[in-house]
Amino acid sequence: MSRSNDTLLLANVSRRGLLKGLVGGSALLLAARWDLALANEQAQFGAGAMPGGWVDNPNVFIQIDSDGLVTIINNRAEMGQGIRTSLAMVAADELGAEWDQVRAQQAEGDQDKYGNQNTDGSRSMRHWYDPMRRAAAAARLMLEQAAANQWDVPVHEVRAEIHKVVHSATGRELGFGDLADAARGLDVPGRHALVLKSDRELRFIGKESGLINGELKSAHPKAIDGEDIVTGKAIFGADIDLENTLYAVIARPPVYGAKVKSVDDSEALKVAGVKKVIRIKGASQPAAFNPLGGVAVVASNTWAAMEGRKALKIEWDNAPAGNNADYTSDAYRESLEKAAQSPGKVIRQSGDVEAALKTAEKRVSATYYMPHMAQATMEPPVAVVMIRNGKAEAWAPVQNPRAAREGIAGMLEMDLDNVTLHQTLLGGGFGRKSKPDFVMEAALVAKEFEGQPIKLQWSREDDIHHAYFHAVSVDHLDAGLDAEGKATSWRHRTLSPSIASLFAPDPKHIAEFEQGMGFNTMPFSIPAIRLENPPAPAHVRIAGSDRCTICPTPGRSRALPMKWRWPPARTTVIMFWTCLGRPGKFTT
Amino acid sequence: MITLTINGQEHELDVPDSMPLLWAIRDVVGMKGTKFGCGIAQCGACTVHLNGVAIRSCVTPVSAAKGEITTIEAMADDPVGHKVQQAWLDLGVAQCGYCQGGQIMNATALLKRTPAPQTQEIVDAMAGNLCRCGTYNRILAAIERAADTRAVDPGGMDTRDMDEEEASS
Repeated sequence: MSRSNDTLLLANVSRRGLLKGLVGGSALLLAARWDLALANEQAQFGAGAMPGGWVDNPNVFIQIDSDGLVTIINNRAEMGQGIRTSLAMVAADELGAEWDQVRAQQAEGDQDKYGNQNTDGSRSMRHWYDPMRRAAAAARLMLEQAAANQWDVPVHEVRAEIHKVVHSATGRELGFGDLADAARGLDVPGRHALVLKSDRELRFIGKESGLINGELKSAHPKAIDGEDIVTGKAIFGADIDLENTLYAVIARPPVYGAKVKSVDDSEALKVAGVKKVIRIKGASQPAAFNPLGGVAVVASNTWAAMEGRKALKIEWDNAPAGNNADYTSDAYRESLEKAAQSPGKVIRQSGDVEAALKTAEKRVSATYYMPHMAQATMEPPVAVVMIRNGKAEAWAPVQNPRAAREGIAGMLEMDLDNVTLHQTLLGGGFGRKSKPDFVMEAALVAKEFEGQPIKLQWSREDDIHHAYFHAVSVDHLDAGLDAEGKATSWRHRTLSPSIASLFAPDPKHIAEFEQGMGFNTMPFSIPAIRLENPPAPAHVRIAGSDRCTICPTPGRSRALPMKWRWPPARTTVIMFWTCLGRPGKFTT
Repeated sequence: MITLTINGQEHELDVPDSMPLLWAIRDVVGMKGTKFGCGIAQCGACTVHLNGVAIRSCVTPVSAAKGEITTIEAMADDPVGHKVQQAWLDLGVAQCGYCQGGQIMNATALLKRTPAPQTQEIVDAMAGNLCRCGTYNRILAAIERAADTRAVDPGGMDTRDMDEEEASS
């Protein structure tokens, strides 16, 4: 073990650098040394380290109409985490806006204007809490200044209250709406001039509302999109309704990396409503976030397109896919479990594990398996794209609008400025919709239909079959205990295909940042430790792996079970798993 | 030509008899509240009412959709549907919201035929409506609230425990 703890810490941080690079479609980043890349990044953290960074200009995020309606521009993807409500609450609280006078409006995909919009990694509130408070505080100061100007009094004599500014000395007051026009013309105060509200003055932040542990604390403030959702008016990706829309589905290569050899579309074209069948170019393996290619069926409605697809006769060429066509997860599991019996690439070592295991009073062993998991968003991937006069316009439920724009621009050789993206609500994201492949597919089809919107719909089967799977993993652990039951040795072999296989020739070993997600950061102080990573090749698109920190506890060597209560049956769609680990008696 | 009566309005559609009602509603009539989730009646996102009964529109051919079709868009004007929607809002049920139209349609059909369901009846009736965000506990609480038979059950995280408590009391 030659690496310092600092290196491990940096390895964790580097995931951000990785994602940042990948989003731009750069596969070269993986060739760079993590440590070097990080050396340049050390001074930047949080939102500041993201492409586009943060923005706290009130003119970008806060609009106040003369009737007092406050519109908060939301620059993050809403996929059920409630960010359109929660960031609006942050701004409304700092501004002093009446909640029923607050609306949210989705920002266009424009990272240069709105700061980073890549909604991935559970960081919207962490990265945008401070900028939104500052933007709102600046707006509040501008309203106060506007009132002071109008009353011709020093600004320190006026105070913003809820949705109005008051001058206590004379009892005068003006609503935010009355002041909006004048405030708009003022300079935005610098960051140094801002004084954020004290906790005591806050109404929403840090206050419990809604249903907390079964108790209805307060039904307010209500969710921004709640009413639209319960009345069926909320607009998700597939709900974009443009005139003359054509509907498309794609038959993708069943094997990752395969190509179309030949296609007979004669029966498909006979299906009522089918307009056209076109071959879609796909990326070679590794495909990164690019389309997989295949054959698109374009029709006057989604169902006709699906029926047409069923009628296609396609011969696939599996040769470019290597041995992916032979891949079955059962056999793969067996091969990993077998490989786990032999030593692998040593990741971390201290003491003599083999000797300590031999002399241990008691030995505990366990092998754990995690299957592939599809993100399985309730709303399958879907996108609408229209191409006209050399410009592309997309409407899509994406987590990363910039990546979608860059994907289309790069693929169709357009300027980024000629690609606009309107972000809809997302019917779940879970990282699946960070990848813009489905938007790029829609653009490839739309290219053949100048001026006509194309709605590209994935079926549930498409979604599961062509997911960016969370990798399978096998973890084999051996621990030696002394007479008191204290751990004296720990050998852990982890095997799982790497996300790096999506962007570069398959390294067959997990990358350092993947190790840093709980493997090489194993926290127990045990005299003899060896962590190994035997090879595990990738055969499908991989989007990282989920691994538990699991400890074989003497007498109870099993992982804690997943808790599934309701629905108890018919969960035919693969759902996400929560795996809990507990250090048990290994409190050395 | 097929005539569909949706939310009291007749629509003449030039579609094949075998087209699933879901796509007729969404792509041909152009009403987007009814969602596509799986296409094989396994998730419930496409739930609508046919003559008051909750059905899966993704596997119901238009030729079988004879009678009154009701969608989520009409629930605000339905006394029971409105109550369910209000309970949903009060308890902040929805997360991403994609499945919630189907959930509300199924819950409303349940309360129309069983105005005061037992907890287990709700669990059974709703078991086929999946929510990837995991809003099940709040859905249960909201249906109980809309049913007007009990206050919001503190239920917490485990509906099975609730059943056991009820069984033992």
